[in-house]
Amino acid sequence: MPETTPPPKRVRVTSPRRDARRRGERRSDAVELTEQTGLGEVYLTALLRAQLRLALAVLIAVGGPLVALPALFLLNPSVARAAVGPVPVSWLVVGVVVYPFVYAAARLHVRQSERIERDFTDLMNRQQ
Amino acid sequence: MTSTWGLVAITLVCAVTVGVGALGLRLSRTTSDFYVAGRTVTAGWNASAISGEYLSAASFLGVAGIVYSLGTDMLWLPVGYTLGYLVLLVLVAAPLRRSGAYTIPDFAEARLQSRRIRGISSLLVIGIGWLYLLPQFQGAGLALQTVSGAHPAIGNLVVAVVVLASVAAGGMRSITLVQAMQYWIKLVAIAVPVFVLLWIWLRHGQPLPAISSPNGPFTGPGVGYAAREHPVYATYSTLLALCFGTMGLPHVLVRFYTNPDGRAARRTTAIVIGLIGLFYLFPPIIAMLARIYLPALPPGTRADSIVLMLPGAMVPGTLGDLLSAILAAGAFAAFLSTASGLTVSVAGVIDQDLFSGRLNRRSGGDLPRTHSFRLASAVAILVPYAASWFWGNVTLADTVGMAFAVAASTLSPVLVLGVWWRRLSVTGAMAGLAVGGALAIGATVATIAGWAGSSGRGWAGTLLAQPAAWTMPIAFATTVIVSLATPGSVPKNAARILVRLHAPEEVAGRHTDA
Repeated sequence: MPETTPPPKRVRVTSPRRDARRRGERRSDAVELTEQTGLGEVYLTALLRAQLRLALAVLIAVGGPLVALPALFLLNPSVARAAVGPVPVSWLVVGVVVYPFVYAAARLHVRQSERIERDFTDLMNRQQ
Repeated sequence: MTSTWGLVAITLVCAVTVGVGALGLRLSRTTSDFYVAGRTVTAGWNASAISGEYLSAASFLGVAGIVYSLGTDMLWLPVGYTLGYLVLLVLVAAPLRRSGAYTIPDFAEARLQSRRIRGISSLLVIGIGWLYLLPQFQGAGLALQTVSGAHPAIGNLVVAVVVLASVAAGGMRSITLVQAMQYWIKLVAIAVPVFVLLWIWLRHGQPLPAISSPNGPFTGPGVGYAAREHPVYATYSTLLALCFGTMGLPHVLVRFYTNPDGRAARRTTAIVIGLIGLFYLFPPIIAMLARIYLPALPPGTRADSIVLMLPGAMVPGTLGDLLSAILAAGAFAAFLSTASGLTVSVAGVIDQDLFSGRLNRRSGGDLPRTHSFRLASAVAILVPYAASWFWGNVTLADTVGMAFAVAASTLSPVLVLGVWWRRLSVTGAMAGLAVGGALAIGATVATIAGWAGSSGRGWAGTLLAQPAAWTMPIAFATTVIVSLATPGSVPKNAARILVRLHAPEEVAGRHTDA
């Protein structure tokens, strides 16, 4: 952490009052929506569903092939024994290829779930 | 094998750790700073810190050791360690950050509004933390013994003292700095020797170890657990434990609080997956080279030490000593960082849930919070340190695997269902924790006591040694069924809490009080 300057004196209020007030108002909008109108409930349920669908899709897309691999190697040993140069395919796949694959899935999930949240925020703001 | 280089390298890592810890002390002033670095940590630093903390003795020494002795199927272990973060990312990362909880007990209490749930999860966090700390001590003893011939007890002591000094001195702020640095130390300390050794191997022109033989015991999939029975079940069960256990590890959630918001928590997790995946490319290469150059282990040596023995076997002399010193430094960084992270989080729980009230009453409220945190740190580290003297001959990766299995069968149902399911009830969560905990801890005790896991025990032994595949579904099912049967104990404001967990900060507000 590039903190070389001495720590600033501590004060309790760290953001301008104006900002704090605005944040408070917005919060009550969202909370009121969920409490008083059936609409907030509907939006929240939609948000939850969308995020859950995305999460399960990513888990299945990544987990499916990975669950299939040990079974494939076991049922069909010739696949596992095949080699690229001196290195067996099973090593190459489980030891190397898996990692960029999982990383790509993670990046995709981050992008998609931020998109879902943006849509939700836009929707809430339109209601105000 | 005595090596001055190795001792110098280990001393350097310890000195830097304590030094940076002391630097953090000057920066950390309040209790909030102490625990979570006052939330001023950027995503890159935080991701390095999380990775630094996560890559433990089991990763640095254990993975290479277990791939060396049991073969291809063990490549799934580091894959599982990485997948754990993917599961964490998609299921709980952002909501947990938005819950505003420091620790898992905090989350459980905030979500379910129940002190008893908090108490049970505190005990589990402490237990899992201690189970995970044990192999760190063992690994340190092993590393110091391999490098210098010192008695393993000395390595244990060194790690205990250095961790206690840096945790008690600086708390989490210094730990964040230390951890982030430790990741890069570890990556360099494993990558550089691996590249040098690979280059030497290419010049020697040695063949790959039995890799071309059709039924080679080393590279044939599905036979890696050959020392154990039912390899396919064992592989899947271990993977499941790693995938769902990661989110329940005590030192993981604490880190997420240092992200400024839920979105940052997600981005940080994605970087973590990249960083630890990068690291895990290297240990299997060491295992493969060790198969060529150390076809048989010297008697009395544990497979966990092959990482440190390989350079000496490949290039005797100064270069070998130097490489092995670099690896020893990396291994020590691994013990220190994981042990520090675990100590901070276990100490946090001990401090909040066991100590604070009592100490304050005794001292009439005079005692500063930081003092009781320091006392808690001492307790957090001394118990597993003492236990490491009596721990059986279970490999590093196996002990860590048990901690994952217990976490996956207890805390993970509460976290996942708590984040996604409105109808989770207090009674349901309690039943899930009790059933999952009893089964997983029972299986762990049976394995440690030697009743399971060794060959010739058939299905019973295998099921006990790799329990997650049955304990985790049972725990989830119990939680769901009991919750459905007790709708009366669903917290009244569950819907409102879920708003806070899932709605982006700019809508829900960061400080919504539920």
